[in-house]
Amino acid sequence: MTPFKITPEKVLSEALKFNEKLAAGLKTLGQLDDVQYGCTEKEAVYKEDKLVLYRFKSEHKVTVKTPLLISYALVNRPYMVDLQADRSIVRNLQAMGHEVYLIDWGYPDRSDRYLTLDDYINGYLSRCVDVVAKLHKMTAINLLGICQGGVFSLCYTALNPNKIKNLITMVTPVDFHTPDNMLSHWTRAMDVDLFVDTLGNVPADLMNQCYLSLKPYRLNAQKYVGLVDILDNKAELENFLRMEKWIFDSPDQAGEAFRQFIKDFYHANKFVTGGLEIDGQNVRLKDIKVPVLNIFAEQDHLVPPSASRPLQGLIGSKDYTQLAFTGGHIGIYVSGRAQREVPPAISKWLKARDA
Amino acid sequence: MQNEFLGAMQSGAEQYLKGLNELSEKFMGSNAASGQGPSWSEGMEQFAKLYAGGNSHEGVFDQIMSQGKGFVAMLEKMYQAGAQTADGKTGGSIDFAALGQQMLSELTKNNPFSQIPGLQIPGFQMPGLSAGMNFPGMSSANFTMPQFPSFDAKTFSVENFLNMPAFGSNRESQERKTNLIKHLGSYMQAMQAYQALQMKSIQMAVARMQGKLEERSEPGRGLDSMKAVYDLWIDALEESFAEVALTADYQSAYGQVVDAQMRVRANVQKQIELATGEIGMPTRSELEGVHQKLAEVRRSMRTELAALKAEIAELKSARAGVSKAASTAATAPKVAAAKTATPVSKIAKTAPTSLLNAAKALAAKSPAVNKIAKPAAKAAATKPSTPARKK
Repeated sequence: MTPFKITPEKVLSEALKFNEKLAAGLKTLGQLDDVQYGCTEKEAVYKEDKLVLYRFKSEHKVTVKTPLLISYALVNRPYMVDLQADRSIVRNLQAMGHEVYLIDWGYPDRSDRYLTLDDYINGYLSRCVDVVAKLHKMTAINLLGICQGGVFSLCYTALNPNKIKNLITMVTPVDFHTPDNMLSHWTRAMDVDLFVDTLGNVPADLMNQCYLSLKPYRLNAQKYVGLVDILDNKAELENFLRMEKWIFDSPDQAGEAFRQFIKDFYHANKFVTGGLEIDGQNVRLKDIKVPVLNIFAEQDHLVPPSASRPLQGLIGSKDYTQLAFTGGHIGIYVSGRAQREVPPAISKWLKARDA
Repeated sequence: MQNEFLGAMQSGAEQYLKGLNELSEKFMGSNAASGQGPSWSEGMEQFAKLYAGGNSHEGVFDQIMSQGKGFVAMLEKMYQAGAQTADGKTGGSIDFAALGQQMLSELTKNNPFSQIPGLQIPGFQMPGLSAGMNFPGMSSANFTMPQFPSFDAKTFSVENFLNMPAFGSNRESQERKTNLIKHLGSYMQAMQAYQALQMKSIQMAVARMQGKLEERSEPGRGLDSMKAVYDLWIDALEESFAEVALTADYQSAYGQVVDAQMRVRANVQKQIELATGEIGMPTRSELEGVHQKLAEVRRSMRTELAALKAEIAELKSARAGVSKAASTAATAPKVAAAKTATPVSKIAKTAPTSLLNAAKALAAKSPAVNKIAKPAAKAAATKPSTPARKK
């Protein structure tokens, strides 16, 4: 029995159809303007160096007392949480009565090479928390950390337990040494001192190439062959281009912070093994006693679920909730399923703890 | 049989060409393809004209064209393989192992591993490097690239040569150049080891694909399009890659290739830095020194500013306490007021020294806090060494 139900004529016909779609779509591609992102109006409420803290203006009545601050990763741009009208975690949370703030870390340049994790966590993030708390005349706010921003949020909450009311971590690695973590597996054999001493800041293009090489054939080849199927659909093509723009619109990484992050987390796995210090302060996840919602993606190839799940056993909080999302590292923000499942789950969890 | 195959091939080529021409008519208003026609993937070139370009999507366009050509080349190979069968109508006797090798060569033309993934650092290739290292009129040893001397291969290996000690007035320069060559050699070795593992994963993918095809031979699971075959092939590649990429060998090869490239890069940077330094240009090390100091100053300024703000807040709080007490005193009988109101001098006596020093400084600078800070600072000047409450 042959697996091929394909005749040569069928192959020929498929080739011609492929060309037809390509011909129709390339014209569309050439006529499309640069894609826009960000759908929710926002205002800068605090600026420092290259950092901007935004407050999203809401068309909806704010019913949740405690504001929510989103701390995104340094390695990509934070507009992923508000990509477009029908793919916006921010917009969905607003519709459910939340006041949402977002940290934009900016694009570090050579002059930022000596920024450390202390500068990011005890400096920038800390001051943003203070600004939001002051604006709302509160002592503690809700914090949502995403990916690397989740790692920062865990450190911050452990060091400042009285300033965070509820903590949400999304696709956040905690145990960096699980066997299916390919990125960590590769990183562990690198001499990060040599790497940072040579490069200074770590170029964004290099980081992107590294991420793409985790699934080299799917992300460098299949994705673009599959794209031909939607080339003639302007709306879908724009969605694709918006994602593509986000993927490659990445900041360089401040060298010293990168060095510390790789050493403390990827190499030494200090959330699990202990001994993590930020500016001489011991960071212990056991000191996190506030309610924690941990959201991760089941098909995440960058932060496998096995890296996020151990959080439950490491924190001191008795109020721990876990949400396993069916999707990948990016789908968790932008897929249709994500819009239906993630913001409602966050909102429900926060509202239950808004007393 | 041979004639049948050639006939089928010619017929297929003609039909494809005809199809391309019809598409050209439809989308471009011209008949671009002619003659016997190019290969299927080359025929796609004409569609490039449809993309006007000039916008920000050129990267996506390039990827579609390059990967699309790989896909169409695979279709062509499959068509040829199908046409080669006895009846020319079914693909029943296609030898996937042979076809897989052909597909493999098409796919690996655009293989992301043709260069090291994750290490395509802009500027690393440095096309202008040798030119930059040989500025006209500059005869410094730092401006010339290392040269291999001629040597007898029977007596000397390159390794022997590179391990020879440098001496004389150009000793340092010679040593740097020798090191650069050594690092380049190590990098090439590391790269070869790394690429060997990539090839291993591709070979594993071919075997894996055979297994997947066998599974698809079950009734109702057949592949009815070449896109389905392509997707299955990508699955096989990814699964095999993941298997290899999670091994200790791969981890070691990855680390070595990254480290080796960094050593080359660091060495080249060092040479450039020496060269530019010689002609009075500011170097990267100098700038980094400035950046480091800037970061320290910024950090220290933030800390001091935060402390100052905290002290101001404390002073404001103290002032509020005084105002409140004064207000109470104004409305209460004088005797009672005398008992309850806290004089500024008393606050000063019980306040910490740092606070009082800050108050003193602020009294001179800030009109906003002058009212409270001035009397407090005055009191501080007469503050006894023993705490007031112990008196």
